[in-house]
Amino acid sequence: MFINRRLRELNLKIVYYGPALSGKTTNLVYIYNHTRPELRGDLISLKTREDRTIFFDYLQLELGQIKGLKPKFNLYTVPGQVYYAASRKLVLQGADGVVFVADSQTYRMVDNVTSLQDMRGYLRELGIDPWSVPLVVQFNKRDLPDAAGVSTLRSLLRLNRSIPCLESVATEGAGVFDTLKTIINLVVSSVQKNI
Amino acid sequence: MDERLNFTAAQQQRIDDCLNTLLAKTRAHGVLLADATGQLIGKAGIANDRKATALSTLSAGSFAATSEMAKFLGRATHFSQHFHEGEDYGIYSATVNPSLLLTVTFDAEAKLGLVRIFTKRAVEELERITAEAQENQDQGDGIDEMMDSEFGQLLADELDSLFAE
Amino acid sequence: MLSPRLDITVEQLAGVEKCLDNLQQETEARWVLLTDVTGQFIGGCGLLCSMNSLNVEALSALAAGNLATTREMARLTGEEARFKLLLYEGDCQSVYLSDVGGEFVLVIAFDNSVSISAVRLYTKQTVDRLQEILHRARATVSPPPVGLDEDFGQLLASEMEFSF
Ligand SMILES: Nc1nc2c(ncn2[C@@H]2O[C@H](COP(=O)(O)OP(=O)(O)OP(=O)(O)O)[C@@H](O)[C@H]2O)c(=O)[nH]1
Ligand SMILES: [Mg+2]
Repeated sequence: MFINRRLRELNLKIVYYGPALSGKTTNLVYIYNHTRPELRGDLISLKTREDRTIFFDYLQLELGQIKGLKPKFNLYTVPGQVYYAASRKLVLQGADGVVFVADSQTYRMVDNVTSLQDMRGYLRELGIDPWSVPLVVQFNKRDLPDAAGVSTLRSLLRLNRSIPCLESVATEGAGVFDTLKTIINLVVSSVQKNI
Repeated sequence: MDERLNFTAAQQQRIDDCLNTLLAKTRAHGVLLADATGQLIGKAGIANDRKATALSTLSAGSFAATSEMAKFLGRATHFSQHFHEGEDYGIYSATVNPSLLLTVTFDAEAKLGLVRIFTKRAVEELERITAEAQENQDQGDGIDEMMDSEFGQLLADELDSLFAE
Repeated sequence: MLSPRLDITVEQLAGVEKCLDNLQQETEARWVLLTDVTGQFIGGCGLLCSMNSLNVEALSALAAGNLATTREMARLTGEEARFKLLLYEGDCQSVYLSDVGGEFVLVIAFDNSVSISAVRLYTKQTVDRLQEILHRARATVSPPPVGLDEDFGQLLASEMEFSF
């Protein structure tokens, strides 16, 4: 978080984390394509030729002034492939909130669990308490036939009731903005508490 | 088509020799060659595989971020050399070809001037090797075809026999 | 706990910008930029002023990302020693990144006609000055910015409704 008192800006960093191919980049692409151009920056994607994230995607959103303060949100994704572990941790640095994008397909359950555990480990290493950082979980790919039930997902990922979980089909945009709004609200109320 | 370079065994040997020479000449800690996706192509002086993998993915990440930065600077800038200086160590990287990245890590024992000169020579040699690899790509050395047809069948048979009751 | 918070007063920011301006003039740099290690843009000058502000923020994110990878590479090669600087050399221009107290990154872009030793020298001075100002920024606990109170969240929610 960075507060620029002269420009009266509140800068917050939100990281989309999750296993390979779960749909993190797709979330940002959808947000980019469906926000008014004056509210967003370019979508920066550091990716391979096969469109796999290699370091991060980055998109900045800014809202109009609220009580004289302009909130700006810096959205990042991590590279989900196991291979990029070292880079993944770097992106989490300074995160004010995290969206965990899970792949709902049953055969991806181990990947989801491992990814969530790894994330908590990295946060701890970075000095961020994984249990108090604002977290929203997105169950993506709800359109696929093999998608596990929401309660199954919740219990397998051991998500307690206080963690908001949303269903999504990121390719069609379903749930994408709801997820974004939920994490922004959580981050802002956590900022207010801690300030 | 996958644009990843395939090196023949002989070419791979020349790459390894080239990296080892660079390591010896500069008295560096380690030398690493990675492609733009962070795939490790060769290394010298770094025994730990996991460490080498992490280093090559990081170098690719930094490479991607730097190329992206260059776009904002205009004038078709391409940063062909990266130099990182710490209090008593350094990391020097140069692009090869330009989609490969050669990285040298060294401490106060090595001289930056030497690292630069020998890295430049290594880059020239590696560019020759990759150019050859690109030319030979179509001809192939037989391994590709074998992998495609026969190998797949053999593997399938092998697996079948494994699970046969 | 939240991530470390940076909250710069108007005066401190003016001090930072003055430093950056001086550096840019002394080195004839194309532009100068200051970001924190998480990629939040703090200030800049030179050609940066004519750039779209969103591109400037993207540059900050990329610079910080770069610094993070290099620092991690150094750590992996067993170097606990502190990071100092990072130089990207292109055909006609170069970019120079310096560590400022482990928490900020100073970025300078300059033409290759400029002497790198001059850039080094003036950067070193600027880094020292910035460190002093920013150290004070961390130390001062400022009151929450006016406006960031209970209805802020409510108003934000409706602003989002309208924006997305
Ligand atoms: N059917 C379906 N496909 C999806 C959905 N969301 C994403 N995809 C597809 O899943 C694939 C991977 O999506 P990405 O957004 O690139 O995944 P990622 O999480 O960024 O992957 P990494 O960058 O490798 O970590 C793409 O082919 C998407 O079109 C969804 O809700 N339903
Ligand atoms: Mg991605």
